[in-house]
Amino acid sequence: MFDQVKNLLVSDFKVPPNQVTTAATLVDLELDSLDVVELAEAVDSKLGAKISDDEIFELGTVGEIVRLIESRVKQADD
Amino acid sequence: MTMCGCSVVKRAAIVAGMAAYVPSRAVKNSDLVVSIDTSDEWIRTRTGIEQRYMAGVGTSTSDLAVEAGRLALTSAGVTSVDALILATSTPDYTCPATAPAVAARLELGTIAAFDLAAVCSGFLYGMASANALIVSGMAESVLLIGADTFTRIVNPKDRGTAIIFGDGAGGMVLRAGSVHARGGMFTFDMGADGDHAHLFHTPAGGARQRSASNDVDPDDFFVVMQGRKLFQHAVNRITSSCVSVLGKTGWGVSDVDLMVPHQANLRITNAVAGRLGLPADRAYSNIAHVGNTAAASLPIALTDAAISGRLKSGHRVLLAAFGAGLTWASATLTWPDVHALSNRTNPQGETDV
Repeated sequence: MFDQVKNLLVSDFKVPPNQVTTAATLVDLELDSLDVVELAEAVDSKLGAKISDDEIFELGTVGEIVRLIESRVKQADD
Repeated sequence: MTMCGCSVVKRAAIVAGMAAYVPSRAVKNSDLVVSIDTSDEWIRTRTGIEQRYMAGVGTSTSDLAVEAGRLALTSAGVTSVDALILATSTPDYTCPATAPAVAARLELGTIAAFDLAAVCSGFLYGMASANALIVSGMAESVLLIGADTFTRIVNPKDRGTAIIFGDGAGGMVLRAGSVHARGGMFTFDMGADGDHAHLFHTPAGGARQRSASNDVDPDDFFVVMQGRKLFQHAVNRITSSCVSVLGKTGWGVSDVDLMVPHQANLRITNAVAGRLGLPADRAYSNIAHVGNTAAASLPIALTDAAISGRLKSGHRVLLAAFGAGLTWASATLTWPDVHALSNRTNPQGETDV
């Protein structure tokens, strides 16, 4: 899932690939508040996980976002 | 005759004159970097804005409104109208309304004149109101002006708002005619949701603040914006309003020659166009050159689009706006054969969507 999120950040949000690490925060990646809304929608439409912009906003790092997406995908599968 | 007794040839408001006016002082992104922690690249990337115009010392909303109104009357080739509507949320005074003073300065006599406050949706709300006055027979012609000096209520230290807003005014003359005539308005869709009024508001200066305390933080006279939530609402509301108005008109998205939206942020325009499935070259944007001018944004965009040739007589046009309140509106019309006027020498600039 990390690779999928990384690909999303690189392709849709023009984040340099080498900056996307599990420890990176959205601030580190220079994503602003509107990007967070767009990221939540992209995660839903492209990765099939429903997470809100509020949830993304409150999470600290890419790793935490990836874990939340994985848990939502698993919930959906169950 | 139809069952309701209406004439078969439906009476409608026709766009007869179009104009825009901005203050002379252009403020580029690089000028803002001096006082705000930001950069030209950051502003361009995040908003699409390269510059905006700011009213000079002593210039207020009515001053811009009068100039835009005068140009609109000239564009229409008329010297009188039956009513004047001024869409603004930065009136000269909290009391009285600014529209009567604008009508007087334009020497329009004792016509009905009133302000309309729907923030960035104000001009479209105004078009719907003017249309209703004309269709009902209460007026044969209306001068509609959208004018705002938002830089007066934006905190110059707030990066979230100071980079976005500019000052300006735009005017449109509407006259009675047939819905089938070029310039005829077809359908409107309007809505509001006051549960989210706090997402964009000015805490002080109104009766609410005065009722509570005399101890006011000076910063409370500036607008407060929760951009993330506002963005979300804007994209959702504008998209659904456009779908609704297109349905009422009987148009598909492919029937739209040009969508002219309120110029709030290029990313909102992009997101709405994407959701509607509208090709990028059919969504107009001039935000790079004027910023977000609130109620003035739509008439300035229409004027720029007409002067640049992007908007041609007979084009099927979709208008859309979203503003604080929350308010939103959309409309469909065919563009008339009108000679739009602007005080800018080169208003052809267009932002890539």
